[in-house]
Amino acid sequence: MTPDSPLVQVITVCVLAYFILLNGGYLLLNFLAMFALRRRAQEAVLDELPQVYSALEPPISILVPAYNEEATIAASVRSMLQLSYSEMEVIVINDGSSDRTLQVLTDEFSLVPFPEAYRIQLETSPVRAIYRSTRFPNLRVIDKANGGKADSLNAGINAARYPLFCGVDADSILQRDSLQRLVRPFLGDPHMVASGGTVRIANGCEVRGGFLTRVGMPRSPWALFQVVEYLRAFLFGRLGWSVINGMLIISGAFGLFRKETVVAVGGYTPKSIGEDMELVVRMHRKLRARGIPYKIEFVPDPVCWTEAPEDRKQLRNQRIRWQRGLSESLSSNWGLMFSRHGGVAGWLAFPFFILFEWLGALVEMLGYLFMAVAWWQGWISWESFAIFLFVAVGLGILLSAFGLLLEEISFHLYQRPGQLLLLAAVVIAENFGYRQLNSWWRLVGLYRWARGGEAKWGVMTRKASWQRDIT
Amino acid sequence: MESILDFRLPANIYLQAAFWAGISALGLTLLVGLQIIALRMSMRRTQRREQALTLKWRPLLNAAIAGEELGNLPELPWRDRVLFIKLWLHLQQAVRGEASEGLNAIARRLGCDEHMRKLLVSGNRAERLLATLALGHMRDRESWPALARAVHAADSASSVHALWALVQTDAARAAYEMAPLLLRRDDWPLSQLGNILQNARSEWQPVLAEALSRTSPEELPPALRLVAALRIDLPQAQLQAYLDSPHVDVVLAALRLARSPHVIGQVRRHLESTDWRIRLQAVRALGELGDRSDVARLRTLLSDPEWWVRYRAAQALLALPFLTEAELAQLRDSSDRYAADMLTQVLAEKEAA
Amino acid sequence: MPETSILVIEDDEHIGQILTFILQRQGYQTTLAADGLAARKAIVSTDTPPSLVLLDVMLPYIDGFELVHIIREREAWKDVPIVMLTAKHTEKDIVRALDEGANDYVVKPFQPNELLARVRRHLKEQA
Repeated sequence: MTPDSPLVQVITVCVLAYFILLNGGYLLLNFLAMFALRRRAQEAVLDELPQVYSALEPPISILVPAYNEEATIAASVRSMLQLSYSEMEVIVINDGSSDRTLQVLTDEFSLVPFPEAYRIQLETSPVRAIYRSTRFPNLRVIDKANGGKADSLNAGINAARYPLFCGVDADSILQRDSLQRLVRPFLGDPHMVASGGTVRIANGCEVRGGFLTRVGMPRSPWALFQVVEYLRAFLFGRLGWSVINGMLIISGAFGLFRKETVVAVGGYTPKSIGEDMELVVRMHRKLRARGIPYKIEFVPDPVCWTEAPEDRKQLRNQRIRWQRGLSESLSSNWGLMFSRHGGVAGWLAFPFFILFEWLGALVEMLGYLFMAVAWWQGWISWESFAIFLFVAVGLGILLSAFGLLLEEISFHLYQRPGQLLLLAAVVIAENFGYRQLNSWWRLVGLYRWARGGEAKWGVMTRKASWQRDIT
Repeated sequence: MESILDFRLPANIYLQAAFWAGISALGLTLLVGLQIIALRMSMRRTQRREQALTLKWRPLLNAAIAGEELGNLPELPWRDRVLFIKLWLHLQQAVRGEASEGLNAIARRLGCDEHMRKLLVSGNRAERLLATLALGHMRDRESWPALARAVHAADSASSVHALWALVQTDAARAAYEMAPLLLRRDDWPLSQLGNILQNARSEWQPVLAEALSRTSPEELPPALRLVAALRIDLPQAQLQAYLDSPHVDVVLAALRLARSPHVIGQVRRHLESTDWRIRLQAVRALGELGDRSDVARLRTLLSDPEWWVRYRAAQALLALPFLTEAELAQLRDSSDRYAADMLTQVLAEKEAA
Repeated sequence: MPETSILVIEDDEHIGQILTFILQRQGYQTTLAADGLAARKAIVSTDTPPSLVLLDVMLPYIDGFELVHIIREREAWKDVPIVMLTAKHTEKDIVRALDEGANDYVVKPFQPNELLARVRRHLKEQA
């Protein structure tokens, strides 16, 4: 190749165009999110008033799959029982834990065997026994053979009594009104089939009795990067999609579903890695194919918090896992892409995910690689390389800053000026290494999925120390 | 290596465009940063004003709640009015009766009613919501036309709260004017409607029944379901007519309303329906209405192919107040496996509660 | 007349102020706890209980029902009248409140005069 040859020029322009489209797309989503936030803000006066219940809210079954959670399961379940909601039941599914999870539950909640006439709507690995709590009449525990999170959720669905079910991770930290907020989309819209939020980073926050009491900023740089990343990509990006009913992901950490619809589309897929996304994409595909009107809404309120990985290795494993889950979810639902009745989900969201989330890692890495090599080899001038870096980083910073602005408009969780300054610094720093590292990890995930390797969950050491128990 | 001062924009137009894209991105980022700072500062200011306002007015509002006579009231500047009403609303939602009237008196003395009426028509969405709530508490008849218009608006939150305001002001008149609309809208949350109607059932019940009788057959099932969910009672003849309807959806909704012994004959007939949902609702109703003769009927349904029908049949049997433990045990032992399982489960559930 | 003291446990700041105001106006001495943890501290830290406890059901950290349980377990607090204040008026909660050991139950939104009358009655019964 010679300097400024047509081929080099074309590739350069393509790479630049890709980065501009990627960030531009996200910026557009953020604008859409702003509309939704404005509407929310207008109704804020209703939220501030003391709540009056009338017991006509739809009853909810909370499903908590648990695997080897002996350190934290008791506090978790207790906090779920304290959620303020008029009618709900909590079903904990012990997924064949090898530690003392079941024993802890039995002791803590005085479990006795319950002769449930178990109804198999979805196939799962064998259920060994069902227990109920004598202290809390609305708590049941299912003990089953190990089968994975999706399988556990299916077992929970089989046992759930109410028309809506809420899938919660055992380590999700909720707030007392979380369920009330999550159910809101269902109240005024009979076509709602799922609602979900995104998780917020709990590192650095004060947690008591399983509830979040004070918001703080994490110390670890990895966690800090994730805070900004969540604001930029996972929070307002998804809210934007929700405005046009193209939301493809509901976080498994806290999501509310209409049980009847989920059973009709086949429940969760066992052995899937990203079972939360896979279900939602399948719901879009099947409901659209059958022409059934539906809505899936995103609730941007900070209702669910979780501990983010604070060291590189755990973070890497998480991101690789996510990319594999994404790949699986998309590849098993190709039917949605450009399908006849696909709507926004099939014609905008799915292609966007394919191009920018799925293949995105590949294009980004190749882009960086190409530009670096081209400059080194003298195929492009250093001005071109500088412009490329300028655009890639500049747009990235703009996007992160915009996420920060939206957070400021809507929830302003980080109120101290010092926190704001720190976030601003992270917004800039994030684009000089973290994003690129992320792309690399996603590329590894893509490769692993393509190769069909076995899923490695990795063990995330649960830091029970910062979950201060109130007793 | 050239120095950075030798930077020359490449001739390629795309690269030039990209360069300017980068520049504008940076500029926009700066703007965004300034906007964030501005928002923070304005939020701080508002918080301070709110605190000052609370300190100044809360004791007076509390005195009004306690029924004290208030002498001279301090001046309420224009820009504090919205914050004042927010505080006032918060207190209004916590009390009722004479305390509520005391708060209304102080608001009227300060001219808030006039201000709220203006906001109701000319304010932005948030201000209109605020005004709606305030005028509802004040039972302001003068705002009736504006509120009535708001009830017909497409926006779910504004319209349902306007309905609330109307019901607060004059429940009977609101029923007369709005009952048909209530039956047609599907975007008003049930819990909100329950709140609104809880103290106005006597005024709304007859009007809703009448509006229901005038609903078209296509709109009848959802309307009937709404009425059932709100636990409104229908006149006996009307309910019996619905229970005899050939439409499955109408029967389903009507069965939820079956609470009086007059309809027990029809309920029993529906136990044999081919649609499992009708059997389910009939079983449920029988749990509340049934007598000794229904034990046999419910027992047959314990072996129904549908899980939910078996479940409700077991619950219904346990709900019947005249079955002794021995009789229940005998039932369990002499039934088939499915029935026995279900009875055991429901017995255990009852024990737990 | 010995000082009648009332422990008010309510997490909503404005409602807490209303309660404090109307109670103090009647001549009672009041202590306000704004959440479950502060309430528990107030309960376990002293052996001289107040004359009455006015308690909201929905509280952060420890809910009202659990607090009733804690109060009734303390020997010195066994006979202190407890009046619960709540926004829910489903039958289940009323039953649960009374089963746990509360003496009375007032639904929010409340009528201040009615609340005061109930407080007076329980204080009189206690004396």
